Amino acid sequence: MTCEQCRERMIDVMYGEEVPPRLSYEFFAHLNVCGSCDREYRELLETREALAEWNLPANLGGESDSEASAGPWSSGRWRKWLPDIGRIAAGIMVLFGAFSLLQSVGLIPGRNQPVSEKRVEQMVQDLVVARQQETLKVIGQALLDIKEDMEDRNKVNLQTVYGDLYSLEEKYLTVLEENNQQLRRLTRR
Amino acid sequence: MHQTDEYLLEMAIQGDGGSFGALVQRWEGKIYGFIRRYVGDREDARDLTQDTFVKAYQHLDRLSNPAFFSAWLYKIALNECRMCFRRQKGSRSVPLEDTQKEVDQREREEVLPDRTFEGRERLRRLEEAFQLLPPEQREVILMKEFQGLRFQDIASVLEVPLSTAKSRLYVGLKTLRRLMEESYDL
Repeated sequence: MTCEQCRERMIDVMYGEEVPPRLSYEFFAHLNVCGSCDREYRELLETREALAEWNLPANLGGESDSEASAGPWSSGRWRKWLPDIGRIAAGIMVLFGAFSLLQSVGLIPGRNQPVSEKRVEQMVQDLVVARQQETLKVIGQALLDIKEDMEDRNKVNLQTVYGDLYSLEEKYLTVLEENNQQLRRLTRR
Repeated sequence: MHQTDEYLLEMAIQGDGGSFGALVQRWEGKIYGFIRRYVGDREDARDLTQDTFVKAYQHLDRLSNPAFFSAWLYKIALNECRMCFRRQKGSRSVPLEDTQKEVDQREREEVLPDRTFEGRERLRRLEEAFQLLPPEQREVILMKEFQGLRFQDIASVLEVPLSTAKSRLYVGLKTLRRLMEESYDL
């Protein structure tokens, strides 16, 4: 992965939306060898951390993100067309609380838990280790296969050599016998 | 029973004000948080939030697909913010001393018991730097960091390609860091 590709993927990896594990692996592998990209990634993370501290004060009668309800819209203008808002809101809150409780104890599936950066790194590391183990296994099996193949070939070669030696010996004995017979014939004459 | 946005919308379109009230209860915190950080001013944010829901109520019939209610609502809020900026001659670049006065004033009015002086100072610099960001970068940071929208939804709200939404976020975060660093150098 080049620095340009790394920077193009930085936001994807940082927010973890639809990032294939292989891409994350290549991304973090690049960070390990590239100080510039690594620094940039860390700076972006720090900026996000700073933003995460930006909470709106919760004591302003509806100022916070989650509790803005008691604020400015309790005027008559809203009351005209928002009857029973209190009752509905209370009912919704109770139901939502019960629903959240059931989700938290696992009785209702479907809540998407945010994955932390640390967890993502851990997952990538696990993936790397798993892949390394898998690669070692493949290499080991290949070596065993090569060894067996060589042993088989050696066996075949030895059989051929022994066969050749055996036929040579037979030929040698045959020729020797023929020569002896000729010598005997000459001796008689 | 938890009622979905779609169900409440259907009821609201049929004239049930209570259903729309429930939707307001469900979404006003998020919309207010979005606008409040966008415009920086509490009173403006309250007015704009109210205007957003009023407009949403008036134009419920224009929402073609109830599944896109949240994106549609953010779009209205975004337009309200942009119109607010235009009314203020398109610039929210506030002189530093004015910002400091505003923050001092706000700190007198508000109680922030959980924050140390250092924490308040950091927050002040962050808010200040954030207000100096170009609007298109501010919008995408708000939607991603504080509203938790998916990139696809952000692209849909802003009506830009997915890659543009991502690059705006990337550049926005880098610019924000630079502005904060510069404020420490001052």
